[in-house]
Amino acid sequence: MNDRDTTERELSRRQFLAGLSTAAKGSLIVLSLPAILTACRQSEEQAVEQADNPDSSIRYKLLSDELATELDAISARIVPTDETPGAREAGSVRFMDVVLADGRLDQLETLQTGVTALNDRANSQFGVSLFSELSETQQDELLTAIETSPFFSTVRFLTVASLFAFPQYGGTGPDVGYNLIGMTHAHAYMPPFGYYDADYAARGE
Amino acid sequence: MSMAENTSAPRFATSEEVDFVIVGSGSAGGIMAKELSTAGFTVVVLEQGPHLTAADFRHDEWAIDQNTELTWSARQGHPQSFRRNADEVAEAGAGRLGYAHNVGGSSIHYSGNFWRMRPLDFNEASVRGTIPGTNFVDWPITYEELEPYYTKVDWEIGVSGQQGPWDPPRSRDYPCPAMPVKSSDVLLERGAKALGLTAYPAPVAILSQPHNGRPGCIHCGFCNGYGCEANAKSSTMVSMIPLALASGNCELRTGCTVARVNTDDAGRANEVVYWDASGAEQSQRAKAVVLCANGAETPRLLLLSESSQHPDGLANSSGMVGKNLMFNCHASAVGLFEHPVNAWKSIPATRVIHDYYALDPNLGFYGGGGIDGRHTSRGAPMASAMNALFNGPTWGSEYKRNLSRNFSYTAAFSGHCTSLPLETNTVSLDPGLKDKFGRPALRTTYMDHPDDIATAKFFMERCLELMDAAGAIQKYGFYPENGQRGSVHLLGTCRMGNDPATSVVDRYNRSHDVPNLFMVDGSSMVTSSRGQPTMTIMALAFRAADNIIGFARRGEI
Repeated sequence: MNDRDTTERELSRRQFLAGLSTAAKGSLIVLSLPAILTACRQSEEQAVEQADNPDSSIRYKLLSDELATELDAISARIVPTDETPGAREAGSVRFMDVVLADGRLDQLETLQTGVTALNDRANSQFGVSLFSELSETQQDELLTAIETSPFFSTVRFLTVASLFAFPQYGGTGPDVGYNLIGMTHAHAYMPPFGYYDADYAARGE
Repeated sequence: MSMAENTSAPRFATSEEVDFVIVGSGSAGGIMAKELSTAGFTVVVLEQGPHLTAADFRHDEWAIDQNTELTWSARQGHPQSFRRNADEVAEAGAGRLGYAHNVGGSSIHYSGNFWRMRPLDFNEASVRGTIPGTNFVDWPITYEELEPYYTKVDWEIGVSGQQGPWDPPRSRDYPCPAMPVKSSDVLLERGAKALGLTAYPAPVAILSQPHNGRPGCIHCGFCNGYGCEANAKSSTMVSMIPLALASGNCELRTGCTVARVNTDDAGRANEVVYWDASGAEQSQRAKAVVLCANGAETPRLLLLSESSQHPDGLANSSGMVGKNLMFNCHASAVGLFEHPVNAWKSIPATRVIHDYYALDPNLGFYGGGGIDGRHTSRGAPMASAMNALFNGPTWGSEYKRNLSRNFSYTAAFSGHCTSLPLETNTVSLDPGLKDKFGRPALRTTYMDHPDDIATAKFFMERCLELMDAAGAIQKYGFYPENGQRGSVHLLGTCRMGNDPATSVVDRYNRSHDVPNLFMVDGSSMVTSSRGQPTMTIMALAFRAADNIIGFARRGEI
């Protein structure tokens, strides 16, 4: 997986540089090249950093395994895995662990209390001890009931953020999120930027 | 372009009396450093933050927005408090004044929208009439006096644009042509045409082509909130500081937080006390002091510099230090379009409508502003994914499917408008909350004037009309109907004026009370501008520097 990511980044860099020669027409973008190369290099460094730290066997810094299991189940309903990667592939729970340990310990209690309450609901409504043991439909029902709570808002915020998290924050890189929102991972663009400015000059607008 | 190291920069002993100490190296401080040092004066610049360069800047949204690595917050030991009015106890974290802590200040992470003010902005109280209950007055200077300095900003800082039909007269054209139009602004222009309005190229402090040894923009999309990886954004860090350091007269001390400005028995500023990068207290002697710490930190420092000579804070005989805080108000409409807009590419705004610069007094409220095209969420991927637009679900499969729609198929039309100066809107010292140095934290007291909120609502309504006229499939609008709780525009807190009883600095940015103390930044602004103040802050800095150099050469400081 990490090898593939690195290869894709290298590919996008090569494609980008190849594209320059035809797109730049000797103009301003060529003069910007050192900056672009710096950006590409940074991207590669990040990829290498990621490859050096697969760390899937390392225990969490902060979260208990029990808490992590329930947070994983919740985040997987917030951004489910379907035909495209979701929260699980983004490493949401590991990201939560890393960023909570980084000066956000006050949020841990919010998560612990919330998960306990959610497990209690799972027990009283469906007779199981853990939220994670419920079917997806049952999980959605319980989450819908608490979707305006500070607990749910916190987990949702962290889950969504994790889609874009760089490895230093425990994420698997921003590609899961970038692909979902339709952002290309280039470091430079040329006009046209979108549909409406493509023929702007020709239309005389 | 490497600028963090400069061998020609001198080192001054703190006991040595330098000509000027400048507090802050941002939009105004960077200019002041370059102008004074290249004019031959010895200068020490004290900057709280580090000297970052292009290679340090990343598209790291978590670092920028959540870890506040540039802007700092309680995370870095700098909490702030906020309240609506003086009867309330301010609450920590309830609001925030935002500014970057690094060489170049907020010119590092700004969007670079560089609207000049117009002649009307300088004498609007006379033209339109004063507004009871406010401190809305004319400036002591005119557009004509400031115009040469606006042009200096265009050329020395680096501005791209094209003179618009209602722009004030200019003595020289822009150095760089306007930036290429984005789809979001093609749509704005479509809407404008349908409604009989004019959208024209927005002036920006971002280079559309090489200028002064820096490259043109590569349209990466990470302007607002981020440092520029290409050196195409015209911060003072890239445009001014290298020239100051190369002068051989300027020492830039980073990681230095100023504690207070001391005065001698004659009431003149004579030393600036600060904590250096190691936390040790130092004191730099100087013939004159220039505070360029921004509209929040400059008044805070003056209040912190109280003494038996100056019991209400330094330079505060008027009682106006910290008062008349203005944010600029705002409003937006978000629209969904049939085809990809991709407003997340390139710079924030490329077209602006200025037909509503001064609203008809018959509307019953004062105000005015401009409208530009934007990305719905500053082009920021994570922030965009946080926003489930159009009342869509906030989680689950449908939410996930909407992410690409929300990011690439939407545009925002944003109104940027006036704030009235009110004595009750202030920056002051929190009596309980402390920062990492044990200083009273920055306390903000702010509630928008009813006219400012009415103006924002007016702009939201116009933005919604523009969305319809541009062909939006769905739309919604918003404005701060219950008042703003913070801003990155920090204006008016050491206002400029001719009368020492009602203003803090004179028309040359000199303290009315302390003859060798100057305040040069957003705090000098008498009125708020139409929502994009930095161009004016920089022009004022060039003008102040010109005058200060004259005073110094004539022995008048």
